[in-house]
Amino acid sequence: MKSKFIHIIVILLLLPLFSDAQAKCSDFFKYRRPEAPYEYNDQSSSAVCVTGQTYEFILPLTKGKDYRLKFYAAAVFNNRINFKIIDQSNHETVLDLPGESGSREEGSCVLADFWNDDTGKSKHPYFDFYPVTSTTLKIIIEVLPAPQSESSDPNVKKQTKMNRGCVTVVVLDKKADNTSF
Amino acid sequence: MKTHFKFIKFGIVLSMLIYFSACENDNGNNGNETDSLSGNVIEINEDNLITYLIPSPKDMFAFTKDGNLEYSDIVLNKKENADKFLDTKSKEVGFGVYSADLAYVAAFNQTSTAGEYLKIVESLSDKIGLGSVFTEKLIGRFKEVGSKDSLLKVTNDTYYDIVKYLEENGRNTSLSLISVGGWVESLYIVTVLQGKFEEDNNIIQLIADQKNIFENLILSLEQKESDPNISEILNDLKPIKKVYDELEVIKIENPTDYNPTGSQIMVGGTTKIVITKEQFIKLKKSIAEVRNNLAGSSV
Repeated sequence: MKSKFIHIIVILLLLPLFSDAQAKCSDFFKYRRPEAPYEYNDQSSSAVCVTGQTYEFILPLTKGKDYRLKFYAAAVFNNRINFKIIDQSNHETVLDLPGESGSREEGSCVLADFWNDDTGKSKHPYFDFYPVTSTTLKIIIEVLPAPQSESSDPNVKKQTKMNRGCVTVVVLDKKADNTSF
Repeated sequence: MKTHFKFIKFGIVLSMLIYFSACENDNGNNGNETDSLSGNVIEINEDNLITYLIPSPKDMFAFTKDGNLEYSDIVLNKKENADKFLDTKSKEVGFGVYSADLAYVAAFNQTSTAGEYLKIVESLSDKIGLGSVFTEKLIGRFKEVGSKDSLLKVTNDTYYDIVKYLEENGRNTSLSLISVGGWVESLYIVTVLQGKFEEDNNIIQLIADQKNIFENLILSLEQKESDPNISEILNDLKPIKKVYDELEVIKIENPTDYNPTGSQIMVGGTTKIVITKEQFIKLKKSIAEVRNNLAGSSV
């Protein structure tokens, strides 16, 4: 009986370690793969992110290639993430979308799947880029704070839960359709 | 009972140690943000909120093949140089150098040479703790190149497995050093193959455009500058930095090359990196100097 009790205590003590392990990015490697006609680009990257923080990925694009970008985020964030992409060559914002939109239509959000009438299947959003000259994209990922928990007691301070999870940027490329190479 | 108590105490100390060390190593998230639920303070390191991405060597060789450059094994790092790497830094950079050589021979489908360079890459991988990537299955795939897989696909998959292994094991410094070796060797190969400067040449423009990638590489290394190996490699790269810093980025007044298809988002097109003949010669020289230093070559 005592032995069982000790085992339970040890398991409980190690629980925080396992919940932290869920924030690791190993599981997200399954998204980092080629999708014909696009090849996998090794600039794909994953990072463990925390709610309330903003992260940047600086991605150089080379002329002569067509690029496709896809994003994935841990379920713990509930798609409450904003995505902005800036073309560094002229500092123009070329994409500014939430992780999930009410309509879930194609092109309206970055993380939530949309229904594709042509294939009769749901599809994960993707964004295609054509670099006229080599340039660099700044991808800004704002992980929004989780909603505050409400309390009827005015003396209880509002509590913000801090979540940690993986966010992955998948980069795919193919030889540009109109390349001079 | 006394033993049980010790066991619990050990469990408490162990779990606290692991939990807090995991927080610290978590992609550099440290700063002054308070989790109001637990009261724990998680420090945020602002530098690591930015990730600078670096392409692998295969990117460059895809273009050179299309750019009608001839294959030549003279540009490869000599096989015997692999024995000259003594410390961890040079072994990891050297691993990147030979991985780029392997990517180059694979891009030109040189199966026999690829086999020789694969052996070097495999041997170096063992020395830097990446031996487990080279499984029997992977070696088997190399042996069956041509019948089941293309050489290029197997080398690309190998690079992917290496990156995956390094990321999963938090070996960011190793990944940086390998990236430096790979990038320098690929650029060395391309600049040697290109030979002379030509106006409006796609390969010359590709070499000039590496300015963006080089800047990313430097910024990425600077984030880890406190590591002596990284600080040293930053110093090694200075001759190349000096030339790339000189390259001018000009505005394109009347861009004409616009032809996106479908829902493509058009980017770039308003600026262009310019390289002169003199700068190209200087760049070529500085790349050769840095490469020969990193690759253990006395040329």
